[in-house]
Amino acid sequence: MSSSQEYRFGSVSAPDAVTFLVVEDDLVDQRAVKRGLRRHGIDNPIVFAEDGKVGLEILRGTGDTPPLRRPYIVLLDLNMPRMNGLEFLEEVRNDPELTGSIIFVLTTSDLDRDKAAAYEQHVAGYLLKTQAGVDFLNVVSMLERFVVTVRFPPEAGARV
Amino acid sequence: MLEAMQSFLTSDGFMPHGMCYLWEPKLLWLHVGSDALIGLSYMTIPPLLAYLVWRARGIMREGRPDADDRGLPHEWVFVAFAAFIIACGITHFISVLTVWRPYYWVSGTAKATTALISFATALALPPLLPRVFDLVRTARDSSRNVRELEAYVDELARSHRDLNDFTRVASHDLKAPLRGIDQLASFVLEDAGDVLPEASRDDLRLIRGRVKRMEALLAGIDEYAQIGRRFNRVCEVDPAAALTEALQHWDPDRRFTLDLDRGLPPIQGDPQTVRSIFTHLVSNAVKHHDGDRGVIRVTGSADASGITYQVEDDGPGIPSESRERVFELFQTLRPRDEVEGSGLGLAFIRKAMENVGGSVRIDAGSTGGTRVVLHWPADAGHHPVRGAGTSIADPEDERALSRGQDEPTEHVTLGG
Repeated sequence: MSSSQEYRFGSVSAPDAVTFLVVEDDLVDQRAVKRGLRRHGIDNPIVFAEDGKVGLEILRGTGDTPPLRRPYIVLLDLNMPRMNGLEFLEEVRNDPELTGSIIFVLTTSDLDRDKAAAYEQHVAGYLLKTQAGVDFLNVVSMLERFVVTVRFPPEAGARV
Repeated sequence: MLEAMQSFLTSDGFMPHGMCYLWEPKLLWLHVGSDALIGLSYMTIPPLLAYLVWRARGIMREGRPDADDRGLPHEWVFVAFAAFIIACGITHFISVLTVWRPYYWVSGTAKATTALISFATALALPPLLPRVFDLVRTARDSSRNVRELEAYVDELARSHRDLNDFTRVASHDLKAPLRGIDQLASFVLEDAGDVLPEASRDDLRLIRGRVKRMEALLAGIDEYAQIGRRFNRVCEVDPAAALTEALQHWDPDRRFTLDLDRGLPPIQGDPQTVRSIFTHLVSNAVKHHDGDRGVIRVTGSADASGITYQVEDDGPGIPSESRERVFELFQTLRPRDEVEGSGLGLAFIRKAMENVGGSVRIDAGSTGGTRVVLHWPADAGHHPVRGAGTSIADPEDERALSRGQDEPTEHVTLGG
């Protein structure tokens, strides 16, 4: 644990309170994302959805909870039951309330076709999920810098 | 003799046949015209029969240069029929002649000859009928056999395709839970590594090692199932680059020397398959070597029959009784805990070589090591790849196949 302290950006998490929505059907992958973020010192809230449908419910507040508080970043798996990642992307981009969402694809699929389809839906980045290894460390530190560096769109109510 | 001839040709005392028609022109020309046309028509048939026999003999010899020239079955029937037709034609021509010249002896003799030939032919034909029916039956059965065979081939190709698709999907889908197991083991090591007894930490590392082995097996199965499935991409491949690259990967400590023959001939083939073949050979040579240092010697030659490569190492070699067995799926000669190996490398090489009509075998190297002899036939590049491009028709299938696409990489514990 001690080494992870070196990476901690103390001022990052609480004030910005960017929420991560992890749309991912594999429980172990959910835990891996959470561990990666936490071990990297990113304490932001994390919400999980097991497929695209649940992800949409959380964003729209049509489930048991109110709409997800902004700002948020979606980490989206592609291969999921019921509604896969690309279908989710299409729904989000066609919904005027959600179309500006910042979405990273986080998947095992290295197919060019998937990458092209994802970027056509204006994802912020396409990240490859590999072993619990170097690459995932890179993914987490990239997200960390992203959260620190990037300015987020205004709250839904502030939009024209 | 001359007299006999004269009396035979005599027309004394006989009336020309035209008299019977009372020289009525219409009737006379009706008969003359018809006889002449019948005669002419008959004469065209024997050349046709001769051509038929000649062509049929040619067809029977096709593709069988060593076949003896016995001709067609019952070829005499055609000869008899031709003689019969010619004789019939002649009698009609003579009928035309006798309208004006009463050579009735000549006419009668011709008819008698025709009668004899016809009678003989008529007698000979009926016993042939069963043979003809046999021929018809054979033709019917062979066309039915061909149809059945085609159906079997289709069925076989389909089930082969299904099996390959199944193998690919299974090997990809099996990777996901494996990744989960590996991650969980790494979580436990990270979270409780300090408090676990050394034995338990060892067990967890063994779990991760087994996962890695399973991933290698799945990757091997996937590679094996994919042989010949890719689109038939054939180009000139220089194996030297593949060999060097493979050795750098498998021998990071540089214990081995790669001794490449000058002017190794390029190979016509699918580049990825050719690279995999040489990578497997190099990794086998390195993994199974028993010395501190080793040499991998590669020679190649090209001749009219194709290209032959020999990859030889100075390792312990493979006993002669095992040299065929090692090409079978999942066969390893040593426990996997001693030498990590899927048992798929040589099986892959054999299938890949056979897929292009080539061959691979193992014999004793000059230094007692293993020598693998690969042969690509001269037309390997043009050999149709079975089932090429037929596997992935549905994009959804490809999506299913793409799951867990990533290859196993180095395992690094997260966060130290």
